[in-house]
Amino acid sequence: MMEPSIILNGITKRYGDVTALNDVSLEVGKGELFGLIGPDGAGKTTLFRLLTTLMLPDEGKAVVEGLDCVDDYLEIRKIVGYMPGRFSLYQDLSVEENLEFFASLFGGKPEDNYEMIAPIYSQIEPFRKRRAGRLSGGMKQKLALSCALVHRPKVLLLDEPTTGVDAVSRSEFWDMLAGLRKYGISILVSTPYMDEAGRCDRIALINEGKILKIDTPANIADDGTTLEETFIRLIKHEKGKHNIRKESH
Amino acid sequence: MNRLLYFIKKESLHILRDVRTLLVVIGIPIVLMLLFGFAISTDINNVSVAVCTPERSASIDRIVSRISHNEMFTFNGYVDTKEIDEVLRRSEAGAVIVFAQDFDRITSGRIPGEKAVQIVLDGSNPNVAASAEAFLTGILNQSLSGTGQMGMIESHILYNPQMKSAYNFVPGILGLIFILVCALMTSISIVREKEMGTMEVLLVSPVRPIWIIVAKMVPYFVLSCLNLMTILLLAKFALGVPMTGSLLGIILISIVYIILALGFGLLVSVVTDKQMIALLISGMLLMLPIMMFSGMLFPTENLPWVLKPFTYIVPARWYIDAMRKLMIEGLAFKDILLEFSIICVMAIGILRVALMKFNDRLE
Repeated sequence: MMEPSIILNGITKRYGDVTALNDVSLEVGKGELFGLIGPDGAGKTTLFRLLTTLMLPDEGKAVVEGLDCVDDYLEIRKIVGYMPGRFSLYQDLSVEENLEFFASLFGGKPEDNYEMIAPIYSQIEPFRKRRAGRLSGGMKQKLALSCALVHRPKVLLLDEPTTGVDAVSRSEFWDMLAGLRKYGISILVSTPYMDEAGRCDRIALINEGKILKIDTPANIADDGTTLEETFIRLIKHEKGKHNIRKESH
Repeated sequence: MNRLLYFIKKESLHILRDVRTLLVVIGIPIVLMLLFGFAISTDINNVSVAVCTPERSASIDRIVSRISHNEMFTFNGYVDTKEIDEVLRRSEAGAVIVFAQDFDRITSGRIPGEKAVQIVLDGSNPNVAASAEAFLTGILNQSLSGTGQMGMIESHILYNPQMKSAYNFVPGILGLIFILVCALMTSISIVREKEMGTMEVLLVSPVRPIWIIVAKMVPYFVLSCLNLMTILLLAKFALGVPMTGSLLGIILISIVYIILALGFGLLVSVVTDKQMIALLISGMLLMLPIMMFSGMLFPTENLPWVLKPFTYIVPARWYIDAMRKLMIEGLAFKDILLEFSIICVMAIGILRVALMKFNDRLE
């Protein structure tokens, strides 16, 4: 087992009566590309918000690069790159103004880590004077990824980066993530699309706030079934357990 | 420091890119000033003037003919002392000039310390009364200047002794505009980031709330100083507000008031989640009390006692009071120290609360 970059231990998060995350534990290794696969409302975004210290867990402990998500939250904010599920750049600023601003937030300039963002940013650079709001969906994602990477984070947290993006751009996006491996950045990425899971080193299947399985995509699908079939079987199994428990009461 | 400069640059870009809003923000003060300055016009025409004199003399006839030849006034005959109130009340005359007994002897200096002429005006339209008074005084002064005696005219304005005239609105407009521009505009600026989701990214960075607040304040502060300059120039040269008081005081107290207004906007911004709600709060919660309790529309002295305490917590009241003293009464900075310190304390308080309430998480 490689050295862990992200550790979640027994994390529970509730919004009133709703339990968004229920006793979630997982580890992401340093430099690993880890996928979080699950349907809408499974708790993926909540998990990202806990890791980015935007929310506090009700129970359990979350650690990123040895820093506690509650106690060391200011330190964590310096070393993670975060791309929320919704496009969250300044639409009225141009492509290069956005990049420059996000670099400056971390006290740097876009040129400082240019070689890392170059493969991604070079694709939108011809449109650097264009306002971010006028970019196509695929280009927006590339810009958002560039902005999340511009300060050379140790951990990259991507919440559904490919939702609402066309198939070609999605594939390109995963190529870019693969290209980041050589920098040793740990990447946690969530997606509702099963076909993208195969691009990850390891994946966690999550549903209704519970982790159903964590393994490599190949291991999960090795009994001849597809990932999708496995997932649906696991969900049904979980529901079955739930029903039996209910009946025994 | 560099970080802050980039942040300020980004905030300024937001403002500059939104040309329509920018034009409104710059245009509103000008429009309001001109509206209040000229729509409530001080131009007068055909004010009828009656004369009350115990005796006729050559000098009095000369003055009367001067008045009747002036295109602003029409001479409306002689009245008796007892009729003065009557003709004013029935609007048969807008002004009555009352000559003293022994007018000629007083003007030639033989009875020192006596007033020679009295002007009685109908103050129900204060602007007409103010202009009429000014012009009549001018005419009388001219006529008496040959005699070498000054200060012999006494004027009384009936019915509205406070003489609220057009330029009394200027301090009120200032008080309103800064709340409008600073509070309303900044209240949207942070909420917009929350609504657009950019706050989420902003928070996951080393940037601290205080820098966000400072960066958001600076461009609006600059814009407001620009507005202050426009208003002061318009007040002085277009409306003729005296502004004989301390100019430094005017600028200093305005700057603190601007910061206070910005603080209000930021506070609203920090505690709300939707632009619409932020707008409503700053519109209703800030604008209405300013209109009602600041003395901008109604003198605070005339409010019922239950409402009076509210005026003390409305910052605009102190600001408008101070500006009246400086701009119209021509007092010095030391005369507005109380108002100045109150606004300073309020500004610091508001900023502290805004900073405290700034949530650097999403829940």
